[in-house]
Amino acid sequence: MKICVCLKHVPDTAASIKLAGDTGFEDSEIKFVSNPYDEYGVEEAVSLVEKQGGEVVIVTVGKAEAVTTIRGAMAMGAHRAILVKTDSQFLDSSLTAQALKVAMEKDGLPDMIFTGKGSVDTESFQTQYRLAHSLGMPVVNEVNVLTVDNGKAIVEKEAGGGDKQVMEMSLPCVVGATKGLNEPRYPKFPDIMKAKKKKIQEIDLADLGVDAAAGRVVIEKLEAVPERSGAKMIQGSVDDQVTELVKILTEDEKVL
Amino acid sequence: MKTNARAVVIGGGAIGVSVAYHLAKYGWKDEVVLVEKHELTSGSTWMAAGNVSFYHPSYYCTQINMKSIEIYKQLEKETGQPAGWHTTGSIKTADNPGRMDELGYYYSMNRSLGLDVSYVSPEEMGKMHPYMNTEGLLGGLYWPDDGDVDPNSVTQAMAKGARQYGAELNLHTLVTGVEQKPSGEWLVKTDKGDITCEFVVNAAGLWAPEVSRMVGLEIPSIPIAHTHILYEKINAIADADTMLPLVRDPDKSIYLRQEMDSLILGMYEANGQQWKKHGVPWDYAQEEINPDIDNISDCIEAGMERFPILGDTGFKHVTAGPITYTPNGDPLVGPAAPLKNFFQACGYSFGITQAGGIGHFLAGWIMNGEPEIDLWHVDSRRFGSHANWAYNTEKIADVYPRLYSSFFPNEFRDAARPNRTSPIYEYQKEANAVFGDYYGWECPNYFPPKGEDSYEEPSWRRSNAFKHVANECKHLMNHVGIIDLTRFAKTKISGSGAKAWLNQMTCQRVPEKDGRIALSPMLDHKGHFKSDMTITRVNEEEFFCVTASVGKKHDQHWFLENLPKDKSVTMEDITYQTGCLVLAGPKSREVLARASYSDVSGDAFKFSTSQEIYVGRTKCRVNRMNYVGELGFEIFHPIQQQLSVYNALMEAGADSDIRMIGMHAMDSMRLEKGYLAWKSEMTVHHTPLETNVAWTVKMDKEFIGKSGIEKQKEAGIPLKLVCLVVDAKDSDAWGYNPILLDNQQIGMTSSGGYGHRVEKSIALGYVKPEFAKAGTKMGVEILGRLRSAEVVTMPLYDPKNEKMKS
Repeated sequence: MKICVCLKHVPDTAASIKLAGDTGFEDSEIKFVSNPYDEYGVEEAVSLVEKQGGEVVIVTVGKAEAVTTIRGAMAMGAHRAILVKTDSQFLDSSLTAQALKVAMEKDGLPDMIFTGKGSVDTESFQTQYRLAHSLGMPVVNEVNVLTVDNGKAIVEKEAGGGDKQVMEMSLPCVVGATKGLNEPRYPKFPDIMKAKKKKIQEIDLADLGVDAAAGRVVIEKLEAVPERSGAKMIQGSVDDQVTELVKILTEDEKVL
Repeated sequence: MKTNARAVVIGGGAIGVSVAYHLAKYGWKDEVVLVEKHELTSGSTWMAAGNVSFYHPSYYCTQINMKSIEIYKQLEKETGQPAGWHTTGSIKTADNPGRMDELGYYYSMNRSLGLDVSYVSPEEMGKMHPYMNTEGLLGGLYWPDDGDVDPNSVTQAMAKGARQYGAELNLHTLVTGVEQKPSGEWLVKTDKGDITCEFVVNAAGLWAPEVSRMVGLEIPSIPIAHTHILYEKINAIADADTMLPLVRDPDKSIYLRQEMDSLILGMYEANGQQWKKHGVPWDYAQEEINPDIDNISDCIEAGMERFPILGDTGFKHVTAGPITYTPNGDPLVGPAAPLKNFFQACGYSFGITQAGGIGHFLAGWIMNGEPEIDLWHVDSRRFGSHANWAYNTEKIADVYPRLYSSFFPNEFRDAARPNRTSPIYEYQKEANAVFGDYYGWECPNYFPPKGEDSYEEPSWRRSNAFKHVANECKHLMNHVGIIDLTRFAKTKISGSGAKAWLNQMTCQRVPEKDGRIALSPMLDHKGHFKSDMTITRVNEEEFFCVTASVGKKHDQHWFLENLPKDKSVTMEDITYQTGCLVLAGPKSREVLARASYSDVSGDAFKFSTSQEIYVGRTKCRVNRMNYVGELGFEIFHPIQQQLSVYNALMEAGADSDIRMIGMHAMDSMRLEKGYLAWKSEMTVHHTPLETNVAWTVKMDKEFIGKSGIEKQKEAGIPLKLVCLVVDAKDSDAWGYNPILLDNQQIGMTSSGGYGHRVEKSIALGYVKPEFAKAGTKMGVEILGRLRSAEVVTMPLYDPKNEKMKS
């Protein structure tokens, strides 16, 4: 079985992001990590191949620096990778999906595709749907239980209120992974060293016939979230404190 | 926020919070204010591994560590806030004989402090730490009382304690400037308002260089990205009842300790990455640096060799964060020269280990004016002006990977050298000098014959330099030699009030006649040794003061602090315009006579006097005294004429077999003469009354420290300096060796070495007075082995000083 995992190289959510210009940010020194939801996809793909045989191919659309993140997935057990190189961290979801599609077609279409449920940097939550649509495959997002058997994928997702949905897809299909699907393994040092020797095929976005300027969503301006003011200490008896707290939440913060 | 305080501490890391906590606790209460530009711990504390152990090469730093452990253990009880202390014990391994010697030094030095420390065999280490592969190990040391602490919890606990005692801790308060008012008070300016205070403590960690710059100082402190790896859960560790000891494998440059249900591996890799070395941005806070696994892979592999389980265990998290480093890896603490009431508490790379202790000792230093223990080892003034940013960036590239390297008393690394050189440096090189580095000065340690031993093997044993040093000592005893002491610190004290003021500064009587010299200890307010100088009286209103080179900043700071405000005394630093060549040996007089235009006969130029005479064409200030105990002359000269003086002496000495002599020989000879060395015998723990310079204490006048001396005279001295001849084999005492009688410690050595003129292994040390009588037999522990020793009458060599006075 051949499985492709779409993996994104994103800034650590704990990193302190400094904006640069209207639509960019300083990315040379901050810490980057694998998109955490994608890691559930990597783990699931690697476990499936460990049981059923086959190969796991990482497909990343991102800057050249994304190689470090790809090596991390390879240390978890992915076999090889394709990096579609872009100039910017930000690429419209439709273009990302298009790039992933063409790259996978060139490599040979897989039996399954994993993505994360979304990426923690731009949070567009669209790529998996656009990719599945363009390839004519079924897709379920936010999957937290998966069984693959006999050319079928049985998936579960939370439906809210404690309910869950159970669905069956025929392969090939796209699975958007989320927390609960598995516990991604921690890479061991010998595997990190082995990962260095695995093959990463690098392709420029333009060589796939994708025009980075043709996106349908354009970032006009990035702004930092205003810093929150400091904590307020509420004094008095418990009753007074609760009354005061409710008043703050309703009147000042307007969250109730 | 308060606008007035007694002390303002800048920086809310473990160090700053500990200083504030202790200042408040010891009585300054609500007069203590701390300012932190972000949250507590957000500089380096957050990423510290939290190892806390006794281990440190310095006897005094070990005491700081001991104090930390004592404080951390009781903090929860005192403040109600858990500090996250675990007693785990710790092991330090050795895989080569040189390392075993070093462990021997630790063992003996720690025993001098009464610490519980023991040798452990590879088998025992394997039992204590079942995950350790002990292959290749020769042995180790085990400290059962070591442990670890959660850096954040311990900081929060001290912060809570500080607040309980009244201190005000202001977060999100950025210091924008520090100024001294004409009154001497400090004004700490922040973005939330200004605070006027008496004392400022710079505990700004990563930003300490910026804060220092606000008051005109440049300090050598640069961050390096230190990395440690937290491994994923290991079931057997999670299920175990006892915690694993911390293991330092210094030969692999790694440490490993238990963290919850797993292990943390830390390392000092070969190529430490200096981070934001030109200055850390003010808005940096608690952010991880991208770890560079390739750069640390050798250390990770070394970790897997020693602890094979690490190869089968995944990395849960790799933490890289900035930690500050100074030219020798030890912090910058204490009064900042030349300022008054501005203290440093920064440059820490093992801040958690020392935070508790240094908070205690520094608070005491600030409040009492003197430190409780000798803190010279961490004193910011130990680095001269040569130790600037550029020096540090070159130096720490060598220091960081070697933080766990064996520490040898005779080792001088090549990194970031040379800095200060005498004008005759090239001549010294030509004479095959092997140089040491003293306060940035290149100073020859010894001169082997050409083609031989031009590198001294670092060792705790007698090194390959031994025989060459012996030759130099014997040459000086029989012939004549030149010792370059250009590095001496030299200060001119002048003015109408100079004599009276100097008489305050020293317990000795300042010379009453022109051209007289006096050996003059300076004491602290408690009567203990502060420093030591020779005062030469040039005339009624001018005195030439010479002090140890390494203590220059310390001593001149002390002068400056005490200088009268009425301008009746002027102090001028003439160190860098004055060279010094010491001409010594029985033939020194005949050489000087040939080189000079003056009468230097014994009658015309008496011992312990000073004259201005021509040596060759150069007018020099010549003092007839020396530190080696032979007939000799210290020839001070304008530094730009040093070559001329040198050539005049060498030509005049050609027929007398003149040669250059190095520092090792000088140190050997001063031991034979029982001459004291600053920070060996002369520390803040001893008074002159305990030593052979008690005669310099003149009680019929006033001086700083007199009341302390009076008290000690009344109570009797607790210790007495003795000279011991040791039955040493191939390694001599060095200092901090326990002195034992019937297995009971009765004292400790202050220094030691081999006396080549008397052909004996010598140790100087302090023992209880009842054991100080010549002939008393005792033991000295050297590198963990007991050697028999006997008290002898001091000095061993030329007891009547006939040679020097000849």
